[in-house]
Amino acid sequence: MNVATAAVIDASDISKQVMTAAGELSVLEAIDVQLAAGESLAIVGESGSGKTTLLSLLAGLDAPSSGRIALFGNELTGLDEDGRAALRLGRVGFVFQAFHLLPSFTALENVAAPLELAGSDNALTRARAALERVGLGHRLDHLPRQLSGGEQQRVALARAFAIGPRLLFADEPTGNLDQHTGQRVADLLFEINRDSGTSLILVTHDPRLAARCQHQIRLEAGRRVA
Amino acid sequence: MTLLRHARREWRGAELKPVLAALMVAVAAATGVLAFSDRIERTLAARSGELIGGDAVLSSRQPLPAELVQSAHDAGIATTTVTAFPTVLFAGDASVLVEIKAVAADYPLRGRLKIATEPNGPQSNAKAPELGSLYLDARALVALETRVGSEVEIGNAKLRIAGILTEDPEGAGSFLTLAPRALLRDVDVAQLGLLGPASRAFHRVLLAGDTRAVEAWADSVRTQLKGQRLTLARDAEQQLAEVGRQTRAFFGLSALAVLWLAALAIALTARRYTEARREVVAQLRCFGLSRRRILLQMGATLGLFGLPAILVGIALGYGLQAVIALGIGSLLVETLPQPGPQAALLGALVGVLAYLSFTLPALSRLAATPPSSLLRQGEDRMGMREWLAYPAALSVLTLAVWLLTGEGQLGLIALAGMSVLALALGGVMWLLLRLLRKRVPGRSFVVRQALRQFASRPGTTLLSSVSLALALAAVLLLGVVAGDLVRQWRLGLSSDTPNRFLLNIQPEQVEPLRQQFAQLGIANAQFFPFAVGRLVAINGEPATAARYPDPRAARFLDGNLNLSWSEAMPEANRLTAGQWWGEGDEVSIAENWATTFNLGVGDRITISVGDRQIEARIANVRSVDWDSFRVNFFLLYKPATVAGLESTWVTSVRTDAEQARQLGPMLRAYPNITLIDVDALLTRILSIVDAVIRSLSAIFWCALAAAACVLVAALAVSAGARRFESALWRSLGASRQTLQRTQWIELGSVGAMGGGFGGLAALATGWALAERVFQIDYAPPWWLALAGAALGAGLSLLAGWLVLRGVTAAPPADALRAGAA
Repeated sequence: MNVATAAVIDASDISKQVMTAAGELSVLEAIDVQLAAGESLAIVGESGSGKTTLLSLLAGLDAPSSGRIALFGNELTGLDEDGRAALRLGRVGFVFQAFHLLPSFTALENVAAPLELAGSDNALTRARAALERVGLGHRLDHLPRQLSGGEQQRVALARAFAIGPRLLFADEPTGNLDQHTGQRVADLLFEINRDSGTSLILVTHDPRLAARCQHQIRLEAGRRVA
Repeated sequence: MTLLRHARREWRGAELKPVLAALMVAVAAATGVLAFSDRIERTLAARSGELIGGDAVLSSRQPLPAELVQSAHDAGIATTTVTAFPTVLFAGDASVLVEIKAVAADYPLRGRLKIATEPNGPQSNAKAPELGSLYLDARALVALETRVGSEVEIGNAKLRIAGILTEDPEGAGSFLTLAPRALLRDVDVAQLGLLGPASRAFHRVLLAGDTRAVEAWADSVRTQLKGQRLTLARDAEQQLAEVGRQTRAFFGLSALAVLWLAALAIALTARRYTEARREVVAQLRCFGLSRRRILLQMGATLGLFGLPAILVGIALGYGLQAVIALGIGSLLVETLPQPGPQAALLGALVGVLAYLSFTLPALSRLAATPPSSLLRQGEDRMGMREWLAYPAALSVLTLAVWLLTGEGQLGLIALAGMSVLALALGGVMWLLLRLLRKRVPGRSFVVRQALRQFASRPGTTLLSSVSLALALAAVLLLGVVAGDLVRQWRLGLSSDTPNRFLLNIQPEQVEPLRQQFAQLGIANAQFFPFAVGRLVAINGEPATAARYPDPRAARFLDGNLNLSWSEAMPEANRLTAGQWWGEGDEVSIAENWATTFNLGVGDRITISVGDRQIEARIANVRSVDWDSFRVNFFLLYKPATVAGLESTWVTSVRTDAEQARQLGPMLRAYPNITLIDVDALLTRILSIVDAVIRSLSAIFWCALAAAACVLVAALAVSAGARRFESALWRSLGASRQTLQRTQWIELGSVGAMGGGFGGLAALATGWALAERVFQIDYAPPWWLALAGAALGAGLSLLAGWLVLRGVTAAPPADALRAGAA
């Protein structure tokens, strides 16, 4: 992996322990991750191997028990939740396995939401363009429950890319979709990623999806094995 | 043990608490109203055997014919005479208008007279006052700033206050009397010359004897009555029972509003409670647990929590009845008995009914969750059966309240009224939300987002806002608009509106009075002769109640017809038909009288005054401004038509404070004249209105508490989704502060919309009352809509703080792990 000065993520020796009724449980141990601008990385592994935990640490959604993480050159260590959120604002996009659209918002409102949050002046126009880009220009005013699974994930993609993020996190983006629909969504994801020069970190079970990334990290019981 | 552990787990969850709060409010309102009505009803029941001071009473505005009284004596019935009339008592500079009751030594024939020597002191049985002394009720004593043992001046004489009248068998149930009472002996009244010829007074003969003898006598004289009214004790008891029933209905209907809102909160929270358990139940059913076992377990949990909530509700209810009694109780002469235990039982019954009928539909649906729902993802939508179950539950509850308040039709009207108001408010708010949804105003993310959130949950937004609007409308209407209306009405009385009435003026006193008025600077006092007659016939046909069933006609047919005569048309009158005096015997009638009897110009009416019958043609119809507080008459004769009729005179004048002060001493020279202080009367009326408002307010504050429960319940329903959305927003980079501000603005908007509409509804009602009832140019206090909005926003924010305060702290990592909530 090329450790460039323009690294979007630079994490070293990160570990995460959680307290359970049975005592302390180590979820991740001594993981290093580096990713340069425009590169893509797949995190793979069995269920319970710590993939989602690693993703949430890298995105600053959670804090590691030890180790250090720098996002866009800024140290996350020592920042509180709001400080980490401010780093993400307008620069990070997410695509979730369960789509996670706001159920009471229309497709257009869902896509416009992060743009407005980032203070964009023409949020609705950009949101409309993003939805057209994923082929949903005719579904602007539909609520999530009126859309199919594939359509919902395409709205989620539009939402993630509409802000022009420098880094996109995708957690099992095709996990809830059938093979054909999953394939189309994945094509779209890589296509936009390539066109916009965004870095991509992807968690997946699907070896074919992982193979489309430039780098891979394989986890087993919280340790990096490849 | 399993149940206890289960219960502890349930208690930690957020879903049950609003259900229990709503249940408490419902039980408190029902118990409070029932306990209060019970106290009133028992007060009335305790007096029912001694309502009229005898077994029967014969009453009239004119002295009762001696032969009627003699016929009672002949039938072996004891009688005693009571004469009642208003007059003014003085003590030093203080004066008060009282209702004098002149009684004989043997008063009362039935029941007990009780007096005390100091206000709220111990009571003792008493006989009629001795000569030269009187009993006064506590209100008069306060107004005169005097006490038992002192003297008061009445006319030219001084009488000693021998006791505070605490119980008068003739006065039970009449706690809304305007003037305080003074009881003295008939002999004193006659010697003092308080009553001149033809003075305005009520004459009563109380009768007591063997029940059969009294009833037989009553049957025999009924046909001979001419303008006298005969009331038997059992009729009076029925009337009293009616007062009790109306009190109960009045407060019961107000409690109905609280119950409906509380039931809504219970239903909402029960639904949320069951939704959260749907998956668990599906699993239990998968494992083979029967529907009955599941229902039993949930029922036991709800019962375990419901019981203490009902007990707390009962305790709160007893507190509430004390608050209600503080308002209304101030009007009562006697103290109310302590509340009985059955209100607690009935209150608990209403609570149990509300609890069962509004949790059962959701529970039974939950128990019926198909195990296959574990495999099928999808929304849990209410089935037709559940939709039908809620109106059915509402009907059960309404039926319960009807049984408790004894009101069917009124309850239905109240229900319909409330539903229409709720629908109208809901409709307007829905349109507003639609508009907002289409075009979110503002540039700031926080504001836009808050408004979008607000508009994007129309269900909970509307439920919360409409509940708030209804409750706040009631509270603001009573708390602000009612008082404001009365105040504006009073201020609106023009500065020359008479504020003193003088009655029972003898004809020879008219000129001296006119001169003395002029010396005091009171000019243009119009004096009218005044006589009491009886309507005998209309167009030659006897005027009977059978022929004129209109209840408004009844009071003119029972012999109490006030009449006057004048050459000129009085002020504040306007001709609407016919001409002022022409040829022959003529009379002028007021417009509303013409409507009541369906009369017009050219019809003929016959009245009898004493032994004389007078027939006259209706020359014209007048519209009368009754609000002018001037002396006005339904029947005004041409003087020539009624020449020679015996009369007293009346007048009304406008006095300033100084003139009013001099008027009292001036009138001491005319002990027969009754001075009525309209300001004092208005103050008394306003104090009655105020007491009723205070009592009702206590109930409507409960309605507000119930609305707050709906609010909390609605927020609790959305808490899961909000937690998830917060996590999502934070993953997108929103700070906690941004999310909190968004949430506060959203909640504030929900509350402000509900409260604002509540304020507007109160203003609209006030405006309608002003137009229809008070007929004044009302300047509505527009700030009330803003105050309502602020109050609603405050309540909504408080509810939000209670239910949602941890929501924006949801860790963003949850967004990765959670499925949609």
